[in-house]
Amino acid sequence: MEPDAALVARAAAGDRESFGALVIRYQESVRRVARAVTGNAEDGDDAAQDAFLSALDRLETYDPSRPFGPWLMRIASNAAIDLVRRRTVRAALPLEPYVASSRPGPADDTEAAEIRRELAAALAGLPERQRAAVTLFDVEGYPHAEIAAILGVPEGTVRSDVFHARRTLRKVLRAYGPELTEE
Amino acid sequence: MDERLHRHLTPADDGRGFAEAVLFRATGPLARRRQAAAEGPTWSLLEFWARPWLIAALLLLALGVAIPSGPWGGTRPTADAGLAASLLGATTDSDVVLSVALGN
Repeated sequence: MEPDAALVARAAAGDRESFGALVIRYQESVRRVARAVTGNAEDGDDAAQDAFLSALDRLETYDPSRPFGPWLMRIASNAAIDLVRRRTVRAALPLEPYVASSRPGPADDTEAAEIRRELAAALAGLPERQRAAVTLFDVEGYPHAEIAAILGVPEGTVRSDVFHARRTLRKVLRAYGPELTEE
Repeated sequence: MDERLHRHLTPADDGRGFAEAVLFRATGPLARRRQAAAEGPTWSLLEFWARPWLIAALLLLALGVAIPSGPWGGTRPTADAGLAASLLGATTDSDVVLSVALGN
């Protein structure tokens, strides 16, 4: 697999294939974080697209000696939070469930769909930064320190955000059995 | 919990449509980048790395002009210096008159 820095260098020179490779490589993570922050798939994908375009505009500010993922995640988190703040009116409307856009599988039965709806509602009830923090920590696997750099807040704040977000989500999941509340 | 969240947030598609949409929107910026790369280094690039050197060189030049007695100034022979030497080396009054008349 070609290193990110090489793709970034060619994308900075306008190479479409290299930029496309970066988008394909990171689209899933960026879309997950953006979806978590915005609360629905469509707004999440809009924010994720904005994030990639914003990253393209700022490629010169990327330090190739550092990992590309956290740099991109910072842009993505900010893009998603900005979009939520721009669309506060729309956010006040009932949240769309993720059912239509979630990956189908064996667990895709009625109860699983119900859990997803509850999760969506629980996530929507969290402040945007808590949504981003818990997703970056529990889903994307970033450590607290890295999340602090991504979100531009102190590490202690990230720990607190993750703790409160998990507690809220656990309350929702508790109804579906103790195995779902394990950390 | 992380497994549930992961499944809940992960898009159902393979991302190709998303990537195409991003690339479509990025057409203009990518074309501008290609054009800039083809045109080569510009004044803005020169300014970025060469401006300190340019300013330093101009300062040194200004110093050289303002302080001519420095090691860069050198000595310039003048007509007055030649005249003084001729007068000092003269042995008779007529030699002095001749030196002054000739402008040595």
